[in-house]
Order: sequence, then structure tokens, then C-alpha cells
Amino acid sequence: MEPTVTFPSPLPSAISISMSPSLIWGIVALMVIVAGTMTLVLLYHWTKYGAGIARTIVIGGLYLAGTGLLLTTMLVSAAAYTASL
Amino acid sequence: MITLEQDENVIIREYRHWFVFLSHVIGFVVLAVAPLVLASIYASLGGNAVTLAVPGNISLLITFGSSVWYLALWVAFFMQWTTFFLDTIIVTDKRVIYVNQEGLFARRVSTSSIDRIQDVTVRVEGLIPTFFNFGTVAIQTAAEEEKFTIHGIANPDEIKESVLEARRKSTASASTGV
Repeated sequence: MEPTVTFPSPLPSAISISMSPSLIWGIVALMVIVAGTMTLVLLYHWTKYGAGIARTIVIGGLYLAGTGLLLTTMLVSAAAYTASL
Repeated sequence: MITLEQDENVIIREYRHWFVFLSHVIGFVVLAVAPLVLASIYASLGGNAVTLAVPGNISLLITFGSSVWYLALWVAFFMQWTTFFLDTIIVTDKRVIYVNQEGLFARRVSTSSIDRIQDVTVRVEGLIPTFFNFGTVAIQTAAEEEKFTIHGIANPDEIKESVLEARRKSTASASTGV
């Protein structure tokens, strides 16, 4: 008896993703390290090579505000999510 | 950092034009919008296609994932901005200095004495460069094969005039011995 072949093959109806607090906090740690390092590098470039004081203040302020907001959102949501596990 | 000589004065300093940066921004806009598009496609399917089974509060996980994604994009965007806007040309009464920031850790500084400059060519092509006043400046020096070509620089005509004026003054002061 020949094997039955169906095409297209059926897709899974559900995808299960496993999450653990250590994975979430590992991602947080990685992002904090990368963002912190890049912030130091960018601030070094802006202060050493400069693009004009006014421009540096505006761009630097915008960058730090956005980075702070996103880091805070990431930390709070990571803490809340791991608490919900 | 560019260190000027004593009694050296900056005549003009220009950066690359912001409009040129817009072409770099498009990629970031696409990446920023992509998760929203994917989420709306998934929502429009009404969960009929694939159901995601995730432990815990999925809204919090989406918020976490979004903040990670947008933080990475945010930092990458400013890295791009920094390498773009640190490209600069400085014309002083003694030198022309061109700083080419090729990457965050790659920087090339070319300098030419003002009296070695032979020719300055400005090219502004197209409606948008003409309207926003940016273009290409090519500075030919006396040194063999030495030529600065700076693309997408703001106020190219002003740079040309500044270089030629500085050279005229340098030549005049050299001939009078002042």
C-alpha cells in the first residue's frame, strides 16, 4: 500500500512559546549593556568631535530622554511580565 | 577634535544637508512600522490562522518586546545620525579641513593648505538639491591626485566662495610679503 501524501501539509493551529524569567532578564541585561555602551560612545563623539553646542544639547537631550523612556518601559514591563508567570 | 593654529580663523563650517539624511531614515521608518503592520495582519486574520500560546500576560510581553525592539532601533538611529552629521568641512584662512566620519570608529581627516588649492567645483543637480541648497563640492589641490569630494553638503556655493576668497587673500598677502 502506497503512503498517502497530502499537499499542502497542514500548518500547526497553535504555536507554543515557552518563556522564563531568566530569559526575560537576560534580554534586559543585554539591552542595558548595549544601550549603556552605545550611549557612552555617542556622548564621547558628540563632546569630542562636536556638531555645534546647540545641536549637541538638543540631540543629546532627545536621545537621553528617549533612551530613558524606553529603558524604563522595558524594565517595568519585564518586571510585570515575570510576575505574571 | 580639530585643533586650529594660533592666529587661524574659521571662515565657514558646513555639515551634510539634513535632506540627504532622509534617505537613511526610510529604513528605520520601515523597521519601526513593521511590527505594527504584522500585528494588524495577525489581528485581521481573527486568530483563525495560528494561535500563539504564551505563558503569562501576553499584553505585558508585547509591551516588553516592543520596548526592546524600539530601544534597539532608537540607538541604531542615533549611531547613524552621528556618523552622518559628523561629516564636516571647515574652511579657515589657512587650510581646508574635511572630516569624513565613515563609522563610529572610523574617521578620516583630510587637510590642505589654502595656497595649494587650485580649483573648486560645485555641482548642484536636480530640483530638490537646488531648492534646499545642497550639492557636491570638489576641491582640487596641487598635490598629485589629491582631491576632496564632498557629497550632499549644505551651502556649496558659499563654501566655494569662502575657499576662493581665502586663497585670494593668502596669495595677495604672500605677494606683498605681509
